[in-house]
Amino acid sequence: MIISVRSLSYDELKRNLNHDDKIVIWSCDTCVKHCGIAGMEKMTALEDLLKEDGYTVLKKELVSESCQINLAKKHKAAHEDIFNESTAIILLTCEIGYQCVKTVFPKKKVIATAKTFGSGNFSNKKGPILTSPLPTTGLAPEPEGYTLTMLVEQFNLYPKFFDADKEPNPEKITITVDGKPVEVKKDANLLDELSANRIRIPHLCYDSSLGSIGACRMCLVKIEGKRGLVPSCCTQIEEGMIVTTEDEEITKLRKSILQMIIAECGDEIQQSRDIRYWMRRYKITENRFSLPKKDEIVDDSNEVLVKDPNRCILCGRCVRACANLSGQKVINFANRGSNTVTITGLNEPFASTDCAHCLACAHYCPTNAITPKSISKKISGYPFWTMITYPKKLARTT
Amino acid sequence: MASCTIAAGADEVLQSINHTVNLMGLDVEITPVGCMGLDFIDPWIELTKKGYPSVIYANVTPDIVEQIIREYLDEDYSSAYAFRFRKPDGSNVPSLDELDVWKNQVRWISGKCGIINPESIDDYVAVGGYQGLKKCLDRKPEETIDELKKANLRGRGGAGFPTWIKWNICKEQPSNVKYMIANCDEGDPGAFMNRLLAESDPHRILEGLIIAGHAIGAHKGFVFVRAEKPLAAKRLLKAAEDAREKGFLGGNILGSGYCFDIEVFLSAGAFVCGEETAMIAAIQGERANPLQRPPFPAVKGLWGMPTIINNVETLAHVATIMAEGWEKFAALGTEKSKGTKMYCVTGAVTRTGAYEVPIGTPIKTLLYDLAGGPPKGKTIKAVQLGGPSGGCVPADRFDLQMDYDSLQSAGAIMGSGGMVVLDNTNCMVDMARFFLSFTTAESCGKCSVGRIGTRLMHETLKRITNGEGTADDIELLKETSDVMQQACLCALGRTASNPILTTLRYFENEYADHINSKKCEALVCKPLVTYCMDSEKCKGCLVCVKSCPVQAISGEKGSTPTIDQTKCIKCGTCAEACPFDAIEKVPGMICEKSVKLEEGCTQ
Repeated sequence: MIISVRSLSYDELKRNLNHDDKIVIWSCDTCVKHCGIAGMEKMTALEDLLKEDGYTVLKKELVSESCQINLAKKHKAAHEDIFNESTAIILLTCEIGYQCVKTVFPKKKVIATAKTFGSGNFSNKKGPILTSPLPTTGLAPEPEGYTLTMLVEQFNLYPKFFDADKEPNPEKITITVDGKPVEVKKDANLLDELSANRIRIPHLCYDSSLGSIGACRMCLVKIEGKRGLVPSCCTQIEEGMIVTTEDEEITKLRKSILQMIIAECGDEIQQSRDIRYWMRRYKITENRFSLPKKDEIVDDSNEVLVKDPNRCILCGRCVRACANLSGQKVINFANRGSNTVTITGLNEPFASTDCAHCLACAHYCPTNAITPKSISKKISGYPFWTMITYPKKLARTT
Repeated sequence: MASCTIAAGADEVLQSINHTVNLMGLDVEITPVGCMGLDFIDPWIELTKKGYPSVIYANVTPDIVEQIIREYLDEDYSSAYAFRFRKPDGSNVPSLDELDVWKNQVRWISGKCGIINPESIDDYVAVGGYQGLKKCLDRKPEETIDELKKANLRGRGGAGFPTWIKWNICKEQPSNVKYMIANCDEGDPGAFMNRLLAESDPHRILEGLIIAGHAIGAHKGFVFVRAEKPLAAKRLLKAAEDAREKGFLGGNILGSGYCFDIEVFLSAGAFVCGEETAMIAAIQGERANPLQRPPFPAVKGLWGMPTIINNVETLAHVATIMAEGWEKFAALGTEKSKGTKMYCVTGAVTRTGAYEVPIGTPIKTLLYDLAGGPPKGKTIKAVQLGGPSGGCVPADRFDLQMDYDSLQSAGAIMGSGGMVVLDNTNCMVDMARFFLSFTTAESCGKCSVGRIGTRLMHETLKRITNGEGTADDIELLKETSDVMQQACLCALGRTASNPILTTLRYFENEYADHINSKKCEALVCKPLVTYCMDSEKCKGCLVCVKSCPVQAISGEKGSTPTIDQTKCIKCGTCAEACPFDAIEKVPGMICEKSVKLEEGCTQ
């Protein structure tokens, strides 16, 4: 992966902005995220900071890989009107990403926030490390790698994200969750805020970067005054909410839903982390339901990805990741009812599609139905910055 | 000339009439009209001449057209079905108003079906069409909504939500772009009232749509028609063109300054498109998946704008209420649910058709007085109401009034108003299996509970009807339906288990028969019936041996052949082929007669 470090302080960033600027925050969702200075959460933090200081933020644009100019172009085309209206784009990308975005928006004010040092990898102990520095940095190649702290000290940069310079202070309200008062951000997503408060709600289809569709039905909670159970991923926080996240009825329901999902996919699905975690949490040892197995063909034609439909729970994360983050729309649903499947392209082999190999689908898949092939085997002949693998530790679980 | 009459041969009859008229040299006007709901008399013709009574002839075939016309001109009405108005003295043929099937109806919205030419706007205007629209355009939208509030019209699409509340929510939205959608995506087995209205009186739907658009402040409307109903779509399209020409649609309607135009949208043909949010997705060109509500479409719908979706039957009611006044409408029906509702009665009755009766009419009246009860030799066992989301009501509860709340208490729903009548040759377990196979295939597949739950229930029911059911299966069905009712994303999933729950509630003995005794009394579930040879009737002709497609029957001439039950595929060919009715279909997996015979031998 590419190693980048933040090169701009929050005050310097503000100096680059006019007060009447209409801002789009643009972030990568890959290497630079693992370097701790990008991603949906960081964008939200920056948005909060800017809004507090009276700036207008039009949109947060999350892109799987800004260094692919095609993807940058597609994102521009998908939200043409917003980009036309905007006057400044703040980039949470590496310098290669900056070059691509600047090429796509030649007349816009594009503000880069990171300095790129070269390629490296992710170490469980040290975090991101730089092993092959770019010649311009003047650093010698180092097999053991330079840690981010070393780079920050040597080049006088900033170790963390903007929120380290100034704590964002969004408007908070208090709601009642399981009988206890909890402080949450006003108008935010209920599931996000519960997670932020360390209240874990099982969910398989939701991710804050992808948005909510309410398909997996695992995150159902009770809210006083609302009829029946509501999916917390589709609920906006309101003043005075009284939420029950776990009681006998909800537990029973979640157990049944989880068993249903396992029954549809077969036992193989139990190998995936998310499913295993929630099985243990809800003490599921045997399955109440059983269904005939799917037994579909594994598609390993793609150069970097393997798609195993037998492990797919149809949560639609890959579909949304491909559409929203890469802008390619290579993966989609086909058929309906119990015959629903995810397909690539027009139901063709993965290899013959428009896949940009950004790996967003694999990153968000909760059951490893789409996985990257081991990095060593293929992609020789690819530009070096696409040689990114997702460190296992970083694969998101919830 | 609606799909139903055309299917019964109306096209050929029309050709024959044209031909006959030419041959006889008569000067006549031939008007193709829509269906009046009496499907059992299709195709029918009505003859009218000045000084003569209007006479309706039923089940007309091309070859008797000439005879009918000659008889009519000779004032011989003996072969007629009924007189439209008053009958001449001394005639044996009844008038329509004397017929059970007609006099028990209140044809509030379907009154002009089968009278006017659906492709002629002049016909519609001549019977008072677009008068309601004129009234509405002259006053404020609030007054229209107020009139609807007084009428207390509830949505006829199924859920029965008060229409005026829905409109009011949408009207209050600050947005200046709003949309109006007419839902003509009816798709449940056994329901065809939307198609009938769209094919026989399309302008009434349009008028209701324009009135609704005016009331909520929309300038663009859609009619969402099922692609499987091409004639309905064609008629609506023609109606829209004519209305545009006459100034009822388009810019500055009737000089009022109000602009509204519509588009006829053909659905992709999935049952789930009838769900409001899925329909919106379909119009937007996306996969027709329902969305989590709230936000409701009235607040955030088509392209993010406030949108109202009404069933076409509701809109036809709106048009009629505005023209006739709310008082007449509110005088019909029950305390809580006013007006009339169209029901489509199909299945085991003598007179199938679409009938409009006041809400609150007992099921009995509809099935026995209007639809004529069961065919000879059969008894009605139950009726399935409201399609795959509804439930069945057993014969001993036929006193039940058909209104939204009473039906809900019995486990069924009003739904679209489809009624599938089941008699003693229908197996209730198999019926539940059929409806589940429908929802399994026709749901969207988006939410895990809906997708997997329907499949689980379908698989379980398949097991039971195959004779592989266990006592635990009933528990499994109840558990799954419990989860679905609580956790599904949309109403389709939440109500999908209704056919199972109601059959379990009223016909548990049939489930027990299938699971414990392994037999299907109704002789429907193939694995649970057996073909039995009656040696007393058998003459040993061996026709059955030759007819069997899998060579399961063997025997010698002169003696009774035996059926190898392991080979038998229960196709019934032998029973049909036997000239002496010696092969009998009996419930259960073994042939008791032959067992007894064998026992006798060994003793």
